[in-house]
Amino acid sequence: MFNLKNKKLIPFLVIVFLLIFLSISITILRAPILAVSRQPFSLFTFLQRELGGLLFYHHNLVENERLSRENELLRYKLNALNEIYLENARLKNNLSFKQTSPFRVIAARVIIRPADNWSSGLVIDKGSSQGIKKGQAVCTFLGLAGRIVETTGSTAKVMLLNDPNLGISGLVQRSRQEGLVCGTLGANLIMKYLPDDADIKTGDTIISSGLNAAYPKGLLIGTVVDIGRDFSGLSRFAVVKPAVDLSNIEEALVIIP
Amino acid sequence: MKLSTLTVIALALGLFQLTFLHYFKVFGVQPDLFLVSVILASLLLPERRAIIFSLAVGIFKDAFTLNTFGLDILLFGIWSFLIVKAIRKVSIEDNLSRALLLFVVALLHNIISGLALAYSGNFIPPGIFLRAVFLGALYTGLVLPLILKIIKVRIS
Repeated sequence: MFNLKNKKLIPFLVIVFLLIFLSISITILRAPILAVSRQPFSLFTFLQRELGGLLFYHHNLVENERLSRENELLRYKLNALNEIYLENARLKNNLSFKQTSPFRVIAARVIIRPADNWSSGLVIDKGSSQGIKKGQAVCTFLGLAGRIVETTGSTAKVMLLNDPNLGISGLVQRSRQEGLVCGTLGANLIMKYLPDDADIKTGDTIISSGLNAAYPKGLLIGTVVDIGRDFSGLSRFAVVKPAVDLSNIEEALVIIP
Repeated sequence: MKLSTLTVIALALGLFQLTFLHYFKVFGVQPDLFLVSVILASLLLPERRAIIFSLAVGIFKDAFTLNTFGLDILLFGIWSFLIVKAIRKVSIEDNLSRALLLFVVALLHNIISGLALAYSGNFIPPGIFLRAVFLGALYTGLVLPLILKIIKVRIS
C-alpha cells in the first residue's frame, strides 16, 4: 500500500515542482498568476484587516490614544527645536557680522515694543552699563535698523528707521546721490530732497552717507522701489524698502563708534 | 469692581500690549489696551479713583513710548474725567455701548496724537495717518467686548 501511494504521489509531486519551477523561472507566467490572484488576495486582506480591527478594537483604541499623545509631544518638541534652529541661524548671522564688521558692536535682545501706533521702536536688554549711549546706531546683520534715543542702566530705547521722527543722510551707492531718508510709519521709507536731475532709479541700493558721525558710512539702508515727485514739484523723492524687516527684529547690534 | 482687581487687569493688558500684541497687528495697526484700561476704570471705579488710575496708566504708557512724554497722561486724564462726568447723565450698561464709547474715545485720541506728531514737523502719508486713526480706533473698540467677556469669566 505504501508503495502504491508513493507511485501515485511521485508524478503529482513532479508536476507541482515543475509548475513552481516554471512559474519562478519563466516571467511570462508570473504576470497572469498575479493578475488573477490579486483580487481574491485583496479581498482576503481587507477582510483580515476589518476582522482584526473588530477583534482588537480595544487594543487599537488604547494604542491610538498612546500614539496621539506621543504625536502631540513630538510635535511640541519639533516646534521647540525649530525655534531653537531659527534662533541659532539668526545668532550665527549676528556673530558672523560681529566678527567681520569693522565696527565694535554690542549684541542685544529685543524685550519690549512701544504701545502706540504713532511711533516705531523697541526696547533692548542692554543699556548704559554695557556702554550704550544715546545717538548710537543700531543694526542687524542685514543692515541699519535705527538709533538709540534713550538709555537706562540695563535697557535702551531704539527708534526704528520707519519712525517719522528719524532722519538719516542716505547715499545712492551707484551714483553717490545724497538724500534724507525718513520713516513714514509704514513698511517703506522715503528718501527726500532729491534734485530734479538726481541720478536714481528703481533697484538702486541706498547706504548711509556717513555725514552724521553716529551712522558709519556704508551701512545698508534699503533698496529703491519707486520714485515720485514732491507736491511742490521742486524736488523728487524715492520710496525705499528697508533691508531689515523692521517689524520682526528679535536681536539687534548696537554700533559703538 | 475692586481697585486691586482692576490694577491687576491693567498690568496684564499693559504687559500683553508691550510684548505680544505686535503679533496681532492688522494692517500695521494694533489696539490700544492702555486706553481699554482707562475706559474700564472710568466705567467701574468712583470718580477720583478713576481719574488717578487713568493718570497712572498714562504714565505707564508714556514710559514706553518714543513720542513726546506726557501726551498720553494728559489725554487719559481728560477722557477719564469726561466719561466719569458723562456716566452720571447717560447710562452705559451694555457691551455694545461701551465698545462704541471706546471707539469714539480712541478715534479722538488717535486724531490728537496723529496731529501732534504731524504738527511737530514729521511727514506722515495721508493713507497711513487715516489707517492709524480709524483702523486703530475700530480695532480698539472691537477688542473691548472680548476683554469684558474674559474678565467676567475670570472674576465671577
